[in-house]
Amino acid sequence: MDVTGMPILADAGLMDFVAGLFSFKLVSCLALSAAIFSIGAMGVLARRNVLVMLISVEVMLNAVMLAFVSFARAMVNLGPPAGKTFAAEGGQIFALFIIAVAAAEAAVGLAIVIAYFRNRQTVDTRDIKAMRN
Amino acid sequence: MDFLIDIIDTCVKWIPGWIVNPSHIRAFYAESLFIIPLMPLLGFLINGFFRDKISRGASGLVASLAAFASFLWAVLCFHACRGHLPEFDHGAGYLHRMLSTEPLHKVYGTWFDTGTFSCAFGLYMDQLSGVMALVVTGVGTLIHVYSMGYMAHDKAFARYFAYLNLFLFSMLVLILADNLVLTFVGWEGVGLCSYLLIGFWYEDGEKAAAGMKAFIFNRVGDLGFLLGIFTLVAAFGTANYYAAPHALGSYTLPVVAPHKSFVKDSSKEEGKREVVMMPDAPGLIDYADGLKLMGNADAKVPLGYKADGGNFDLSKTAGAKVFPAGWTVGFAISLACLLLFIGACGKSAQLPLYAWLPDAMAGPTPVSALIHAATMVTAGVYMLARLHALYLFSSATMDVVAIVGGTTAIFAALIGLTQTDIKKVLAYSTVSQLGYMFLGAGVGAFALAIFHVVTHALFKALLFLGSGSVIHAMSGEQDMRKMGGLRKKLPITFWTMVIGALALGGIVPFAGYWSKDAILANVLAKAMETHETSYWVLYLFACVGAFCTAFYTARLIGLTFFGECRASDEVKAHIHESPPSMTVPLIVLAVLSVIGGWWLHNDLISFLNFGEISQNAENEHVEWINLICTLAASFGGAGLGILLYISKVFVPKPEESKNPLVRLSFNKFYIEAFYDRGVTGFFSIFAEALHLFVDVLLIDFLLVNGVGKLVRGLGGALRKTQTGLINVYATGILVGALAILFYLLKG
Repeated sequence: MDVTGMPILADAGLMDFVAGLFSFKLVSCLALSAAIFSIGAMGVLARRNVLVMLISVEVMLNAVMLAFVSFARAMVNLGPPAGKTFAAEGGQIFALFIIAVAAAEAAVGLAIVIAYFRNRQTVDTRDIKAMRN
Repeated sequence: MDFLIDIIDTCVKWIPGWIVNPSHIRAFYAESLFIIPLMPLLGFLINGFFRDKISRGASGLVASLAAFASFLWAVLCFHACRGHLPEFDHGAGYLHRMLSTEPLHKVYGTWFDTGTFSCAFGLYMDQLSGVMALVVTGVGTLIHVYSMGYMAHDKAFARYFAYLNLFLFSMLVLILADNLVLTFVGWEGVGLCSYLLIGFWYEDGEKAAAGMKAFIFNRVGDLGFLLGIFTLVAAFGTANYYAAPHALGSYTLPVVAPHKSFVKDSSKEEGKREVVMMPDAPGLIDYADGLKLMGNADAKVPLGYKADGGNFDLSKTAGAKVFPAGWTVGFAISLACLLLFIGACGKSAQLPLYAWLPDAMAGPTPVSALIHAATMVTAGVYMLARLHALYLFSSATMDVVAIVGGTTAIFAALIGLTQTDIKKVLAYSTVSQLGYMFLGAGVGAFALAIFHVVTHALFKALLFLGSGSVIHAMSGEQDMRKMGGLRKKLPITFWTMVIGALALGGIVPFAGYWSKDAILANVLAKAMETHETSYWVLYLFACVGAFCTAFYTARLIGLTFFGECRASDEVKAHIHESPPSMTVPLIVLAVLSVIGGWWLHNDLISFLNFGEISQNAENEHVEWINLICTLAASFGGAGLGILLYISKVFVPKPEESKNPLVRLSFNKFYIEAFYDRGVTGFFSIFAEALHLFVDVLLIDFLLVNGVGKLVRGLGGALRKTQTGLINVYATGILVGALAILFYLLKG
């Protein structure tokens, strides 16, 4: 057994390849999550449009969510570490929480951006620097 | 509440007999000693807290009643203190019976307890503190009454009486305390009240400054006093005067038990150990008595001191940790007495710390009478008498006391000769008379010193109150050269002041004669016994001082009351005799000044019996020689004064005088100029240097402004990082999060 908990098939044919494609691999999931997170982070750092930055934040949140559910899935197979107990559904529940938080954050963030735009007719961060120095 | 019920019970039980023989209820009086200081404290609280609400009449009445209640209770306690004699001896005189007194002593509770040293709230009344308490409360009451008239036009009436009552309270604590630490509390309290009352009219900068001067001079002395207490505590482990009474309230003698500190090892001589019996937890005087017993009790020591118990080695006691090796108890006692005497010098205005007292005349005149003539300034003499048993161990300190006292006596008298301010003359006279008291104490005549305190309190309070009456009549004028001819307009003031002047001048039947003459006799006896030049010189000083005293007193009376009135017409129109509240105290004090000395002189001295040291002038030679000298001095001085100022009325102009001696005296021997220029100058330069270095450089430049500038600079630099660009901040957050992550994962 490898870390994913799936049996290693000695003679993998086409079906096995397809099955392998759809089988769960934690490393792949985490790699994907990291990639999405980095893209989101880069968006927040590099883009000057507040709206795009908010979208990027959502992207980052989704990446985190993906990491949570991946771990949860992996933990079902692995079982808890020695001497610890936890709810198997913890990761999924956290994901739900993140969805809720993300929704709230998007609502508040967009409201701020809209309010700001109404006042200043801009959403470019280069123009939003009244607190400078 | 139990305590109160006990008191009431005792009262009810014993009232029929309490006047007849209060010794039966001695315990009750010991228990209730606290009432004496409590009364003025209550008066102070009432006048202090309700000073805006209380009416003027009520304010003065409350204060005077508080003082009078305190006086009454002091009389009762004093009465109780005299002890029980089985048969009433009519021949011996009232005060003679007090020879068999037992002191009232009550410890109310522990003040603080630090393991090796504990200090109690205890009150103690024996002959000495009883006499002092009577003087303080008695003269105090009269001056309270007088003040109601004198201060009638002052706007801060209640504040004045609050201070006056606080002073009485502090003074009574000083006198009745049963240990040095509590005495020190009173000592500081009277210093504070003195400061407050000298600067009572604080709107006048000069008067406020005089208050501060008094306070600072007293600080110098108080430091010595405090160090003296420390020395005694280090040597004896106690600051109590006497062992505490064993069963509280019951008046039995302390249980006598051997005390380890006072085992004298004389095994080499006789093969046995002598043990001096000491009470449990002895006080300072008990130790001194024990040391005296350890010394050669049989040897006849002429003037009472030089007992050799002082050779006791301190290395065997707890004091070994504190004192240098090889020190004896005698050294420690000498050091402590010397330090305490510095305190006495400050409080009692002796050389070199006398300069505050003449300036203290800036206060209201009744204050000068009460605090700066009759009571507070005698605290130093009282302290010496209280600790006389210790002072007698140190002949060197006694010599110092005598020399300082004698020098001050003549020095201040010489200054008094040329002063023109009526109160300044009296102030220098007070300094001079205090010098006589210390001179008396210094030759071992403590009882006479206290006797002089009593008579001086009577006649000097009288003179000050009289001068207050004069100043009141003259609309505040104090310069005697602008007075004159007042004897017709102020008859009561005139006659009472003449009596006071006769008493101060030492004219024969009046109060001052009895005490001053006896002190001089003791100085002469001491000089004859020791054959030391210094004592002959001191006797000469004292006689010349007596001459000067009589002279300036006659001068004061002549300039004030005789000749033509030299005041302006406007002032003349206002001259009037003072109201009865002022003249009645004058009359009472005048009567006491006439009879006080004659009435008390035998009784009080034997009553204030300090062991074998009270009166040494048994030698008839001494008495006759001294009588001739003092009478010659007094009558000579008074005669010269009368010749110059009463029959001729010569108006002096000392500031224009070409005579160097007059200039020297008028300018106070340039001592105050030296204080002003030399001492004050030195400290001003020192303070200026400190100001420049510490205040300007260190604090202002480096600390306050320096820190401010540093913070501003750093802030200015860090401000640049606040770009206002949200992306930059986000980068910061990311970098921080990564750093934390890295730190955590690194393990």
